[in-house]
Amino acid sequence: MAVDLATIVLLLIAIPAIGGLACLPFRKGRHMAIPVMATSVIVMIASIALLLDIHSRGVSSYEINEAEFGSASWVIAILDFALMLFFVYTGFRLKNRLAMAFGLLQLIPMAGLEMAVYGQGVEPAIVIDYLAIVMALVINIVGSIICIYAIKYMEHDNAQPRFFAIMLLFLGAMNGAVFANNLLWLFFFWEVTTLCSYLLIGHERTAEAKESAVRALVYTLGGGVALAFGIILVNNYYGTLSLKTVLNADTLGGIALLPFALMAVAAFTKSALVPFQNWLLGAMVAPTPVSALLHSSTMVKLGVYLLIRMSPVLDGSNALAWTIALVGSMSFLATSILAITESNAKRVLAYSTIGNLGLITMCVGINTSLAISAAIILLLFHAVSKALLFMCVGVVKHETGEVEIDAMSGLRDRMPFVSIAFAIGVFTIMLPPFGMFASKWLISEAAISLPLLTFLLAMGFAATIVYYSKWLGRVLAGGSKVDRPSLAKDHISRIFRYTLGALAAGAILMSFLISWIVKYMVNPYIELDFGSSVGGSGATIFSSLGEFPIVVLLVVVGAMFLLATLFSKPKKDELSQPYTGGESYQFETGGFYLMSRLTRDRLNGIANLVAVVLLVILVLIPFAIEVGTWL
Amino acid sequence: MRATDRSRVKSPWILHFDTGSCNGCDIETWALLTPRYDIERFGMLNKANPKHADILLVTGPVSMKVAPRLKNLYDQMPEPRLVIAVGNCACTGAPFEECYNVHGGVGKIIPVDVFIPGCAARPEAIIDGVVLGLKLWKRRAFSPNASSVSAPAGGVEVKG
Amino acid sequence: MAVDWTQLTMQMLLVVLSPVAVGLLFGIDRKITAHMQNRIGPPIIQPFYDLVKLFGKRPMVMNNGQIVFAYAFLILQAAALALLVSGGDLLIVFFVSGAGSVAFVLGAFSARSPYSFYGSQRELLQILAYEPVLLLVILLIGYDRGTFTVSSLDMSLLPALSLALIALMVVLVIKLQKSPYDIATAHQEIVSGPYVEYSGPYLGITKLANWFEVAIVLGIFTLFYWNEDALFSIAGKVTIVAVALFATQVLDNATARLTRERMLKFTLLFGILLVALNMALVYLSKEGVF
Repeated sequence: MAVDLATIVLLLIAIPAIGGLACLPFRKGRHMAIPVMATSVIVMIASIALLLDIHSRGVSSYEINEAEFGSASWVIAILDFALMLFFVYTGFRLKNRLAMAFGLLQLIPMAGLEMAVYGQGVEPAIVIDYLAIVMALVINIVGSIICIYAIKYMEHDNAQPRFFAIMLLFLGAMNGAVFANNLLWLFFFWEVTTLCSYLLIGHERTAEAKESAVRALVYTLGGGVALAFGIILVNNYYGTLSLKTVLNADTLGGIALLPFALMAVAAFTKSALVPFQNWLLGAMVAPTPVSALLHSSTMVKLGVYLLIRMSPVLDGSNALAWTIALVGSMSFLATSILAITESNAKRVLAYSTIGNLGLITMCVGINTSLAISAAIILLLFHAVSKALLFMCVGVVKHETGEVEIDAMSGLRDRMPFVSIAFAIGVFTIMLPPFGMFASKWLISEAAISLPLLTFLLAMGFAATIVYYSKWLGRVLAGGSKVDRPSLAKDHISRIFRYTLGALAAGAILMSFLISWIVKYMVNPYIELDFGSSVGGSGATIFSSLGEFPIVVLLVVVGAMFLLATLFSKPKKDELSQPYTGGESYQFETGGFYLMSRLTRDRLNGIANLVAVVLLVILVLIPFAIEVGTWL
Repeated sequence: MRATDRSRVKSPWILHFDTGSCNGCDIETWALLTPRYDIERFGMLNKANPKHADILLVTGPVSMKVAPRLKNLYDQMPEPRLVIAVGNCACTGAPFEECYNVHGGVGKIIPVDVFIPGCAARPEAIIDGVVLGLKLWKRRAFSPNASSVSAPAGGVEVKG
Repeated sequence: MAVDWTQLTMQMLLVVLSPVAVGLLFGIDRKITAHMQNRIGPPIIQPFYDLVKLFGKRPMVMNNGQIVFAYAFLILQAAALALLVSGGDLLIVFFVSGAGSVAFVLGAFSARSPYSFYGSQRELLQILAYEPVLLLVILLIGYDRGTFTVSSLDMSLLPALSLALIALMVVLVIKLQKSPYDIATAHQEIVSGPYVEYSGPYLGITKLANWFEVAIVLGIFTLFYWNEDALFSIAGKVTIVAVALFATQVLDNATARLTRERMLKFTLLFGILLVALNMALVYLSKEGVF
């Protein structure tokens, strides 16, 4: 089936943009459904077609030259400058000197670069490999489901046209970013996602929203400055702006690693790792679809995506790789412990997201075949489960207005469908035998290559279990009753049911199919640079250090849950009351948050300090190596 | 007898509840846990949770205030269960039988299986009483849904 | 792939007999504790009387969530033990057992009762205390041996990992719910903690699952000794388990319960420090320093 791949990529980038624009003229929220659904269907089909087509061609990557896209480079360059000017203007308008400074620091050097490479084409412009396809599938399928969910969620909102326009535009930008091989195109799409994030966080127009939006803008613009300088230095040291060429070049070593250190810093800001985590936590004031789409499944993954792309370069320097691994594992540990202390559901999920991104970063730093495989699997499964969790929290907020964990106590009786979807989300994200756990297992095995990391990992894993279990326990707390909570009784809209159900079913299904996912979607990318070390054989996943009989466990656990749920109805005369020393009051219990606010802030401060030190070391390493070679 | 019935005799778990006693009988009951009397050799454990307990050991003359709590705890005990009234107050309420704030004996609130008189009831008598209660169990094999063994009217008395 | 029936039957027997062995060990434990306290104590098979008695009581629960999670606890622990016995991946055994503990905690949360609630939060705190140490010991085993598959661990882990064995002792103390760290089922404080709303057969199921859980930890202890001669091997493994259990009993009778914060700080500090030291030693020996 020789479909023109260039067309598909163009569709993936352009259709969401057009769909977004098509949303603008509408007044009523209901009518927004048409362009949103149309866009969703098209991009979902397009991304799956892309996967099938690449698979049928039997190649690991496919390149598309700039010529196929006409004068795309011109368009992108012009839009890029417009965007950077907009950032400078925004900084000026908000009287935020940092934003203005960052905007100028991007604008002027990039202008210089564009003039320097004027006329030189960058070949290839687009590279489609399995990493990009995995990201594209996540963006388009999970993203579309979230957009459809948002149709119902935002039904009472005042500015829906603008909201959906930006959401869809964002999807297109993400698609562009993961396929771009031309670093200038990558930069442009990166900055578009920054813009979308800024606009969407400030959507509600409250004072808190505006403040969070500006903070997010400043942080991610700072990352953009690092990226800009990184790209300029790449051109300086390697003479090319093609990512693929740069990654396959023999690294010049020493100072020539500096651009990658800078790009790593840019990735850290985009993925909100420590010490940049504040912007993501503040971004939780945005409407839940925004949190689900941008701030857990897709945009923040762009940073770690760049890191995974860069991983071949890290062979050149152990110090660089180890520092990146340390930043990642520190983020994981710090955020996992801090999540125990949070009582706001969205902030807990935000901390969890940062923690998992930290894990992926750590894997990139470990830089072995096992680690990178684990990273990609984690990326894939985390997107689905986290989106599901955010959407559940969103439904609860939509129906009850509550977003505190303690207020969700006993949700099982009030909203059974959402509780079960939530339970599936939590199970798939932290427990065996599901997919995310498979990646955690691979990560544990990979971590023994760098034994220091195992200590940070072990505490983080235990902390993860604590905060998810106590939250899920709160939700599942039920009174004394005979009937099982009936799924049909839950009065939530059909759109919510379908989208939540789709993601829940998807998460479970993907866990069953993990061997195929490893074989057909992960290994083709891994084999390019590392040689695969994770294999699947239908029922078991093998790694070089052990094996995981996932399907057997899934069947056992699933059967047991099914049987237990079906046959576990207590009879009327078997009901008991809670033991409260003979009293018959109803008791409400407070939650458990491990540490006082003072200790928590202190912990936050220490984590930030250590992370800043690590970042400084990261940027100084190329200089140190260079000095070392002189001596 | 089924295995569960035999095991039940070998592993009776106790819930000890004080319904307003002077603690004299309570002290004697707790003395049973000490190495001198050592009821753990019979498999008896002092569980504070009615849901885990088989035997409800009650002391005190059941004041008005505590009666609903006593009933609550009794209802939370799954069958098969025994109720043993320890001490004179628990048996009949004496010497507080006529007081206005006292029901006068555990038997007024919940069905009692074994009465152990004494003020305070001696540890040896309490052991005798519990063993007698276990014999009641041995005499009738239970099905889990049968209601509690109701002792013959007046209960079985232990000569203390 | 031909199924080795003799090996399969032996493994299934081992899975069934392990909780029986653990029950006996608990019985011996109570007997020795009793003698330490200058009394006689129950017969050795008392735990079996306790367990069987529970199944003969009328079941009483608050809602079906408790039942579902009680079964989940049992089946996950049994599955983990089966994996361990059949020579599977040690990390997977650890994580599946951990999932079982989580299922137990969720079961305790399912009942809206204050003691159950606090009990399960304390249980989570215990998990926070011992799981990092246990995971680190297992990772150390993997680092030392280069593999996590139990069936390929054909060398004595002692004396190279002796410090890890000591760290594992702290984990054992918490898993067995013994002083000074019997925080979750602190009898005088929160009645029975997470077990509070379970009764009758469901309590029996959670107890049985706990036996499986202890069997898994003791199984990890047995990995520390191996000998080609099967008899020596078994003797050595039994000795390690016996010494470890006796040490916990002495500790239990000599100490009182400490606070939750103490438990967290001590276990994490002590356990992680020991494992870190051991890891450093293993690293140095790999580098050829000795």
